[in-house]
Amino acid sequence: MSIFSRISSVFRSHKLDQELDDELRSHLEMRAADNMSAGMSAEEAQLEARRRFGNPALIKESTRAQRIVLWLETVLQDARFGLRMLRRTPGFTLVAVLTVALTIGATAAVFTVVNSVLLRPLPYQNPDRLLTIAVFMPRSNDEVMATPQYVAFKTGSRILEDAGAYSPEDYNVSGTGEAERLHGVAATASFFTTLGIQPAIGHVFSAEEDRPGAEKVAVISHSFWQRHFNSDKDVVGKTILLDGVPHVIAGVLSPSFRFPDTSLQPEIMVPAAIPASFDASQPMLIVQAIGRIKPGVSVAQANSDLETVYQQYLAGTGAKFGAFFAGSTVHTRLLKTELVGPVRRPLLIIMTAVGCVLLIGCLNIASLQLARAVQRSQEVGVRSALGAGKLRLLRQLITENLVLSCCGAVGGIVIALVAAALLRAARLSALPSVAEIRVDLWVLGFAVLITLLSGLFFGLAPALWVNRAAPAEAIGKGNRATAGSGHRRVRNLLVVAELAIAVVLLAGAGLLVHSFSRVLAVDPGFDFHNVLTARVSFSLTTLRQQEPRFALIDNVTQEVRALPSVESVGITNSLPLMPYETSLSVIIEGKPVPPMGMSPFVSVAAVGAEYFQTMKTALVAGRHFNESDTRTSTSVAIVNQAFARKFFPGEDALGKRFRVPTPGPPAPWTTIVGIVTDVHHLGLAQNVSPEVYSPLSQSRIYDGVTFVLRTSELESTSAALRRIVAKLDPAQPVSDVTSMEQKLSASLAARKFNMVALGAFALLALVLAAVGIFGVLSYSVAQRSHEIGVRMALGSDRARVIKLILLEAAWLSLAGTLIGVGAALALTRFMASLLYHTRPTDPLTMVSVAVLLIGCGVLAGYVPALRASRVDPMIALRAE
Amino acid sequence: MPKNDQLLGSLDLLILKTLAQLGSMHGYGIVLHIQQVSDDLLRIEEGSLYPALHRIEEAGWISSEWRTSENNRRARYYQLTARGRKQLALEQQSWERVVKGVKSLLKFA
Repeated sequence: MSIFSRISSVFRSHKLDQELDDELRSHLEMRAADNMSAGMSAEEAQLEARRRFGNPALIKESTRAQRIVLWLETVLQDARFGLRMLRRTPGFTLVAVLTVALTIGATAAVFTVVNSVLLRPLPYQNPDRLLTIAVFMPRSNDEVMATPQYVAFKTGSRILEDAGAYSPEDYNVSGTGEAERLHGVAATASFFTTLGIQPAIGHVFSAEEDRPGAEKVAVISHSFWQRHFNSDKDVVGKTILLDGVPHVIAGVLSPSFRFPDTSLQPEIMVPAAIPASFDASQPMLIVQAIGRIKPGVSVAQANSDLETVYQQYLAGTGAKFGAFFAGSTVHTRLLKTELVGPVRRPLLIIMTAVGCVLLIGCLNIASLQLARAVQRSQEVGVRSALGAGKLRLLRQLITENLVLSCCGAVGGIVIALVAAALLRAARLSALPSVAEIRVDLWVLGFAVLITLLSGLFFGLAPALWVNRAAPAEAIGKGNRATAGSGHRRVRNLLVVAELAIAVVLLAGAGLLVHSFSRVLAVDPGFDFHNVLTARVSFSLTTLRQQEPRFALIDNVTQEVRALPSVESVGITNSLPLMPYETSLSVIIEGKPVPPMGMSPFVSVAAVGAEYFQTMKTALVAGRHFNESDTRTSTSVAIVNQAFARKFFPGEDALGKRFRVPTPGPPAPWTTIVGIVTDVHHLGLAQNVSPEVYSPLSQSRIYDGVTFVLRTSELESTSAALRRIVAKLDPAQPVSDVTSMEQKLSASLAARKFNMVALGAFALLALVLAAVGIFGVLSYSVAQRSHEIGVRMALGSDRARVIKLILLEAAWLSLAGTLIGVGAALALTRFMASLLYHTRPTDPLTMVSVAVLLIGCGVLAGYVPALRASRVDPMIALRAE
Repeated sequence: MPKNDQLLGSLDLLILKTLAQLGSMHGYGIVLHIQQVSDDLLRIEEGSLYPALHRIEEAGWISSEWRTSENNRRARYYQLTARGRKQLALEQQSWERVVKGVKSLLKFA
C-alpha cells in the first residue's frame, strides 16, 4: 500500500461520493420518467434526459470541488495518478528524479556552505554593528594597530558604543598534567562586552582585573577545561602556570564560543592590561581592535569619526612618532566582511558553478518534459475531448510535476546533508566557520523554493506549450505526427545550451586542475617525504638565558641522533611553509649604500646540525656550516640562489661580505661561505625571496627552534622525541609535531578545495549534459523509427544507421562546444587570481575540454544509435 | 456549461426562494419549479445546479436528507435552514435594488 493511498484513505469519504452518484442518477431517472409520461419511448426518454443533463462526470467534478475534503482528495488522486504515470515510464522517471536530486543536492550543499560562511550572522550580539578598526600604513602597505591608538579610539570616539582589543600570544602551559604549548590571546575586558560573550562557568575578567599590576587571571576554553580539569565544575579559583607564571582561573567559555579570527582558536585568554596612558619608555603591544558602533551609525560615518579622532591623536604625539605614521589613515570594515574576505571570490565562483549546474539540470528537465508532453499530447487531447476542464488538466499537470520534483528534492536534501557532514568532517582550514556548516531551515526553504520553481517553470511550461493545440487536432494527428520539427528544434537548442554551459564549467575546472598540477610540479627546494618536524618553544620565564637553551637543544640533538629510526637531524628557527621568523635589511660590501630605511629586506633563518642534509636542500657552491663556525669565529652565512642573483648578478657570491645597517657603530661583516638552491619558503605558489642562513652557533634564539628529523617511522619517532624532551626538561612542551608532507598539503588545502569543488560540479554538469544528449537522441530515434525502417528497407545497413545517429550527436556536441569555448574564453579571466602560472585562456585546457565534451556527446549517442540499428523495418512499417 | 450566464449571479437566490416556497425539494424538482413558475423563461442547467446546491449546503444555508419521493423514488431533499432564511432575505433585498436600478436606467431615455 503506497503512502499516498494510506493518506488519502483518511480523507476519502466513499459515502459522499456515492451519495452524489445516487443524487444525479435519481435526477436522471425522474427526468426520464417524466419524458415517458409525455409519450416518449423508454429509450428516447433516457437519451433525452442524458442529453439535457450534460456531462455527468464534469458535474460530479465541479460539485465535488465545492467540498474541501473532496478537493483534497482530488489532489491526492492526482498525485496517485502522477505516481502511476511515473511508474509507467521508469526510464524517464529515473533520469528526471536523478537530475532533480543531483541539481538540488549540489545547489543546496553549496548554499549550505555559503549560508554558513557568508550569510549567517556571526555568533555575537548585534553582529552587524561590529567593526574591525586598523591603521593603514601606506609606506609598508600594511595595517597595524598599537595599544596607544586603540586607547585613543576607545576614549575619543563618539560613535563607538564599546571597543575591545586582543593580541595572539602562545603559552607554555603547565601545572595541570603534561606541559603543553597552546594558543592564547591577551584580551581587554571590553573585548567580551563588545562581542556580548557570556562564559559557561564563572566570569570573564572584569575591568579591575584588566589593569596593569592586577592579580593574574585567565579564562579557559571549554575544550581546555575538559582536557585539563576533567570538566570539574569547581574550577574557578584554581591555578594554572602560563610560561611559569601562576594564573587564577576566572571562568570557562561556553562550547559554542567562536573566536572572531577562526584561525586562532585560543584555549587561554588573559587580560591584556593595557595602561590608560602611555609614555615613550613603555613598550607598545600590537593588537587587533574590534568596535561596536552605536545603533544607526553607518560604517562610513564610523570611519570618518574615527579618522578625526586618529588625526587629533597623531597631532598630539611627538614629532618622531608623527613621522613614523606619516600618511597613515584609519581603515574600518564590518567584522563579517573582514572574516570572509579571502574566501569570498572562490565561494562566488563555486556558487556561479552550481548555478550553472542548476540551469543545466532545469534545461534537462525541460527537455525531458517536452518529449513526454509530445508523447502524451494524444492522451491529454482525448481527456479534454471527454470533458476534462482546462483547469482540471492544468492541475493534473502541476501535481504530476510537483510529485516528480518532490521525489527529486528528497534525494537532493539527503545529498546536501551528506555533503555538509563530509565538509564538517574534513575540517577544512580553508573555510572559516567550517564547524558551523549545517543544513538549517534556510537551506531547506531554499531547496523547496528551487524545487517548486524548477518543477513549475521548467516542467509545466513545456507541457502547456505542447498542449496548446485544440484536442481534435491532437487526437487526429496521432502520436508521431505531433512531434513536429518545431519541438525537435527546441529540444536541440536546449541540449546545445546545456553542453555550452558544461563546457564553461569544464574549462574553469580544467584551468584549476592545470594550475594545481603546475603548483605540484614546483620544486620546493627540499624533499618533503619522511621528514618529521617538532617545535620547542621557550618562554621568557623558563630557560631565560641563552646557554641553557643551547644546552637543551644540543642534548636533544644528541639523543635524537642516536635513535635507530632517525637518519639525520637538523635544526632551524624558521621552517619552510611557515611565516618567516626574521627579516632584516642588508648592506653589501663594495656596493653603494642605500639611504637609511631603503635597504632591501632579506629573510634570515638560523640553522643547526645537518639542516640542509636532512631537508635535502642541495648545496650549489661553497661549503656547509661546520664545527669551526663558533660564536667567536668569523661571522659566516649561506645564502640562497635568489640572494646571489639579486645582489651579485653575473658575479660569484662566494666569499662576498654583507652586514646589517645599524645607526651606531657598524656591525661586523658576514662572509658568504655557501649557496643553496631556492626553497619555496612561503608556499609552492609563492615567489622565492632572497634568504640568508646563519649558523645556529652564531645566532641568538628568541622564540624557539624546530627540529627536523629524516625518518621513515614518523609515528614512533615523534613519540620518542616527546619522551626525550620530557626527560631532559619536564616543563618544556613540544608543539606542532607534524610531517613536512602534512604541512605541504595544509598549505595547498584552499587551492585543492577550490579545484575539487569546481571539478565536481563540472563533472556533474558533464554527466547531466550527456544525459541531455542521450535523451534527445533516444527520443529522436523513437520518433524516427518509421523513417529508419524505410531507410533499412531500402537497403541502408546497420553501420550507416548508427553513423546517422552518431553524426547527429556529434553535430549537437560540436555546436555546444564551440559556443561554450567562446563563452569560456570570455569568462575565465574572472578566475585569473586563482590560477598559478596558467593563462585563463590556456589553449591546452580548452582543446582538452572540447575533445572531452565531444567524446562524451558521441558516447552518449551510442546507445540510441544502437537502438536505431535494431529497428525491425517490418515492424516499423506496419505500425502505420 | 450554463447557457443562461446572466442567471449565474442570481442562482443562489432562485434556489433559496424555491425552497422557501416549496419547503423541501430535490434537485430535479427545483429545476422544474423554476421553469414552470417563470413560464419557461428561466432554465437552470444541471451543470450549475448541483455544484451550487452543494456549495450552499457547505455554507450552511440549506440542509439535505434522503427521502422517498411521491412516485416512490429515493431522492435527496433540500430545505432551508434558519441561516438560509436570513440569507434569502438579504439576497432578495439586494436583487430588488438591482432591479430597481436597472429599471430606472431603462426609463431614463
